[in-house]
Amino acid sequence: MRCIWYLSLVVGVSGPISLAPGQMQMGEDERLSAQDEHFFESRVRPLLIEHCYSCHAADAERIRGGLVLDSKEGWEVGGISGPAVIPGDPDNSLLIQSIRWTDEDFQMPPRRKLSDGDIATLEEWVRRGAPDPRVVKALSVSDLEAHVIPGGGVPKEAGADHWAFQTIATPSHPDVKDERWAMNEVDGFILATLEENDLRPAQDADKATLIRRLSFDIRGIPPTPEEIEAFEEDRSEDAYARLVDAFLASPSFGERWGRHWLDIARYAESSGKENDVPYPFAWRYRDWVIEALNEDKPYDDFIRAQIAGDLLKVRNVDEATDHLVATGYLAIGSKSHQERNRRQFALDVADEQIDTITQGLLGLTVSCARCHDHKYDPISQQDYYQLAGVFLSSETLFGGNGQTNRTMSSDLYTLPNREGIKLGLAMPQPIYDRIVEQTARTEREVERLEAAVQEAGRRSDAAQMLRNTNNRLAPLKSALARYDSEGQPTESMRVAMGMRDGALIRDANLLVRGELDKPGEVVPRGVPPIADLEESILVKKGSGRLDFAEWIVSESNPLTARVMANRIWLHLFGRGIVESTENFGLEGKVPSHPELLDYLASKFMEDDWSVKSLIREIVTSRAYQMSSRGNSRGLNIDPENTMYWRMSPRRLEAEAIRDAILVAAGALDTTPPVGSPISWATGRLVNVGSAEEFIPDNHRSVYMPIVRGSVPLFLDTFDVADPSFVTGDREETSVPSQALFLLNDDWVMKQADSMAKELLALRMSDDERVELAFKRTLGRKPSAAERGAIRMFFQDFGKLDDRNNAYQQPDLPRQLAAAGRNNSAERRAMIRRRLEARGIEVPETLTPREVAWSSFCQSLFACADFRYVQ
Amino acid sequence: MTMCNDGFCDNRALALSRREMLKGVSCGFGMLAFAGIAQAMAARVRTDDNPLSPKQPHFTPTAKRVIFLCMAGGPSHLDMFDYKPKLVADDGKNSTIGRRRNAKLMGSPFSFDRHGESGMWFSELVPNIATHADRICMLNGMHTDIPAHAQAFVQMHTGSFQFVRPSMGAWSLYGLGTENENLPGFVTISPPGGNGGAQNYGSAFLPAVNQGTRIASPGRRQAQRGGRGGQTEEAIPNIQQDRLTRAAQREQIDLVQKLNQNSIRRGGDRDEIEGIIQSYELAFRMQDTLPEVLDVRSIDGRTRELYGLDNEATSRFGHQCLMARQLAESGVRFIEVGAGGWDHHRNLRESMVNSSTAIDKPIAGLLTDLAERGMLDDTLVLYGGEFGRTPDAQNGDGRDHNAKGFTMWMAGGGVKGGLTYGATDDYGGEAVDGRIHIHDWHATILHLLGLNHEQLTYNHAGRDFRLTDVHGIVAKDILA
Repeated sequence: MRCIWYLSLVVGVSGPISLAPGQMQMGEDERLSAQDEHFFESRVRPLLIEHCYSCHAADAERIRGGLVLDSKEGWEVGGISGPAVIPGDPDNSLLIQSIRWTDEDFQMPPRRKLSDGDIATLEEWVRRGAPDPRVVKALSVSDLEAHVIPGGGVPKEAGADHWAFQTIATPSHPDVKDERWAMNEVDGFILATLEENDLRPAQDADKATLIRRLSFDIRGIPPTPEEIEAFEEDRSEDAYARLVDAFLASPSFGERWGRHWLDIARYAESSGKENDVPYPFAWRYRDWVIEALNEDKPYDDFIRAQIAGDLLKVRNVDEATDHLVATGYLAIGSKSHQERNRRQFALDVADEQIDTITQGLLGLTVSCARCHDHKYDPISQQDYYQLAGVFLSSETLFGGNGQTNRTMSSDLYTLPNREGIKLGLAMPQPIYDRIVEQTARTEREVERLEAAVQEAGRRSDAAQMLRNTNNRLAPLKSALARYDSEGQPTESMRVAMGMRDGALIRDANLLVRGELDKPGEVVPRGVPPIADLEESILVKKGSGRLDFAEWIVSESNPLTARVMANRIWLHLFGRGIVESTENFGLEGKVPSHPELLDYLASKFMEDDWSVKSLIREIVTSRAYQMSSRGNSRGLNIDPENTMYWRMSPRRLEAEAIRDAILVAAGALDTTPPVGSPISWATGRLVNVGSAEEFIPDNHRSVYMPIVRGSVPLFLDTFDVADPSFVTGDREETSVPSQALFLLNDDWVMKQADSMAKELLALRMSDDERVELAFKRTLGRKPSAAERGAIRMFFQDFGKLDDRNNAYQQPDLPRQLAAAGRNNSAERRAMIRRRLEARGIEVPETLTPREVAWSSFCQSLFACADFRYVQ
Repeated sequence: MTMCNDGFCDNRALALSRREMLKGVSCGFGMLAFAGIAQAMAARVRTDDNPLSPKQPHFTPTAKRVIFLCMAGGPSHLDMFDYKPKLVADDGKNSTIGRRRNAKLMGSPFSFDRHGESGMWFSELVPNIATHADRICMLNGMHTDIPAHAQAFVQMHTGSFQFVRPSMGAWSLYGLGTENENLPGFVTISPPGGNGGAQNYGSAFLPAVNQGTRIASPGRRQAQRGGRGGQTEEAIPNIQQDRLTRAAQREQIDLVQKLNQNSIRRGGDRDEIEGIIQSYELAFRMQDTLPEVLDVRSIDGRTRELYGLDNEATSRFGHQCLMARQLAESGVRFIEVGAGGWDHHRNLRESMVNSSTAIDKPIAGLLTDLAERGMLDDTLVLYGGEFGRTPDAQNGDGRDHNAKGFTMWMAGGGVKGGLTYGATDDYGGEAVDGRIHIHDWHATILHLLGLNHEQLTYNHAGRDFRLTDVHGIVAKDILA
């Protein structure tokens, strides 16, 4: 029995077409009576062809409203307004409503009303249950052959011996010579390989290096100078283990590892593609992920909730809510809202979901089989359409932000009014006022145009302009509806993106070449025989998402635990044991340490799928604690460090670099923000020149708004994952735009200014300041050579400044400029206060000493060591 | 990318080292820069660590670089290039074609004439472009899949309207590298925000260094920082700053580089840190090079006249065309320039004049300038929009979208000048002869650049991808 909360949480479907799941389940052997067929063929079909097909057929020049009437499936799925016909119920069928011409804005056919006789015929047809013989006719075998792309698929047997499809077995403990080196099981596997290749593991890293590495790896931020000192001084045996536990318990853990998951979940707050429609409530999923990781929600539950949270049994409302928000995973993908054909849209959404799940969780590229059998893996097109049936039988609730006409939109989940369910981020007054003003202006325009249409008629240019203006108005109104006049979020924001079983549960046709108009056989929806499965798991009830999720997280699934253990290893060692993190198929890379991978995977499951436990297991190994220093033997035999004879130096991710700059500047706000500024968006985001204006304050970078078409420049510059793809392993580039950013960007310079001012305000010598600056940015003291270089920098900078050739500042009022550049900061501050008291605006300026120190701090942000962990 | 003969070729050897390559931008690049040296590279192998250093094409190219004049909105081929006397004769009659049976045909209200020795047809809307008739290869048999702006626009750039794929500029850069170490290799000037936005110059799964660098057109972003004047300083983000002088910034970079050198001495990874060191040096140079290359203030009077810089109607696009020439001359591989506003559903008689005027003189000026500088021979100039327009009228004197037949043209870079290739039916509704699909267009462009579109592949998510997917036929008939 499905949980009762389900219904109470669902927003009513717009219009009268809400159907319980299963009601329209198609029978395989549904045949029309001869009478019905005759009625359709002699009276209905000619009517449709004559009056409707020119705008509502698959091969129409432009399909209007996304509706096609040349197949039964066409009116069942319906257009943008939903299913066109409800069999047996003419009054509530949109098709009938429109041909009656009773609603002035909804009259079909638009030019000339049908005769009363024709209307009666169609009413009669619907009343009879809309018998329609035009079910998709599968192509015959010879047709199929004509369309099949040569090359053929890969037989199932080809996967029989593939390593990744074999059951995960706990491997036996390997024999090693140097047993004293190994601290835990992980070390045994690493050392065995090293010994086989006559390599020695590197020395242990020093404590300052180790705490910086661990801090970035687990929390995504650098250790404070105090933390470094405390750890260096702690000589107790379990000092490191306690440090690991403390870091894992910190809320920063979820912000760090949540971001790793959001790469896999291709998280973004807009649709991407042509229009980049905003998703103002996507942040709920982001917050869910961060919280789930902080709670150490077992990975199997984590996955179940995201794929089929709406179908899970629950104990209470809070749990139900939590599960619904989790299904946002499937709704946040990139979509082409402008797609006119509703069936094409549904197929594309399902494909995106299949692609995201199979690459992200299984390391398989199942979507390759949409148009033809998979070229390399034993995944057939039939397999693909078994899964497609599952997702086509589900409904994706992605919203649409008031986009109207010609763009796809959907319902959202309404969440219960419970404590802890936030509404969202308040809208700043200037933005609110601007939208109010825009709305008023647009409304006046609508009024004017309505009057013009009265005169010129519904076919006039004015009518077209009216439609366009109304389309502009809708998203404005929708944004305003989310906030009260104070800019506070309203109850209407108690909604979430997600997934539910669809009104229409049905198996899918295989589509030859993936093309909508070339349907082949119907394949039963379910979990196809891929990986270790020998037979499909067929779905008995509902969409089948729950069956799919259960198969993914079953302990016999050979891929799930391996894929995730590999991802966790990657984030701690910089390289996956399987380097192709999204492809464990036949063309993927083979594991460098297959037994280690299996050990980690089985340990993961054994420890109740605890992500934190697996991380603890890995970071407490001696291998993780090795130095990154190379030696000539290691560099010769294994320059890529594929055997892990040392720790590989790793470049920090964009978010970590930015957070580390904020930390150094003393500016990081560690409280999580509420919601996202994307909730303020009023229309398409393609017109947002840059995302920068949406970035709030100095929160952790994981909370920066991610618009698919306009990722924040900092993140974009430092290789953030493209939010349209599943990304397990980000690129690492060193391009000049990064250098330009760190050298010239206002934001970076502002952080350097605030770090410099903080340092200069402390009572200490300049040498001590340099040392503190190093600790805050690089986590260590400067070497003698570095101290020398820094002294020289200050000298040379000072010489330039003496010649007035070091820097420019904004123009100052005459009085302050006359006070001289070299007057004391106190004196300048006094003059500034006096001027301001007289109402004279004084731009922010720095003293020469502040400029020099700011430039020095900025050099620290810019140097290689800042963005690398050793 | 390696040579192969089965269409699904193998770039795994390259993929193996991709990570390493990405880390070391620009090492030793300076010594390899500029043409001629590329030819000296005996084999198509990686000889240095820069993923953008010049690479050998598959065969001898006729074009070394591309300038794409991209007309967003779907310009009417029927009123500019594709002369249809029968449509004019039947003006006002009911269309007899397909589903548009009851629509009224609309002959072009603009007069057409033959130009050049080739006698190529042009309408009165583009008198200046017409003077280049014998340099232009007119493609009247173009067609594409979807008569909707966004899909067609993205497909024109990436080959796919369904999936996120690398743009043709990114593919070109990936295949050939670039020739100026001080500049990005793929530049797009003022791309439209809509219609897929950044997807149209994105690198998708190709290494990120191949993505297009967006440059703002003059005047557009000036307001943001104000004060510093000049038209190009904000062309790419953070190209300049307001505070430090060059001398002081050099001191700052010297400190950064000393810390970086020190990091290598401390045992850091040489390749990676050297990549960073190089990136600072290139950035430092770019600060001066880019504004220099794009400096429009030093342009002489004749050039201003040539591109129509002083005329309000042509100034904006003229500046862009001039920037394109400057970048091309400086060794940038692929440059896209955009002009929008071609979606004439109504009031075509008037709006077409405005839209055409804005581009006619600048484009003609660009062709003249390239020819005079001897650059037209190895610069491929592409003109076109995402689709064309219908022969029948809409909203009085407008035209609807038409993906079934339209016109694009090419000039320079090894195409036959003065050739009119392909044709639509008598009314200009559907391509019937010399048909070139967008995939074929892509294949032909790559061919002119010396790249085999079936061999230019990249392995991603378990399979090899191409710009042309599984399609594409090179239009051999138009090659000079």
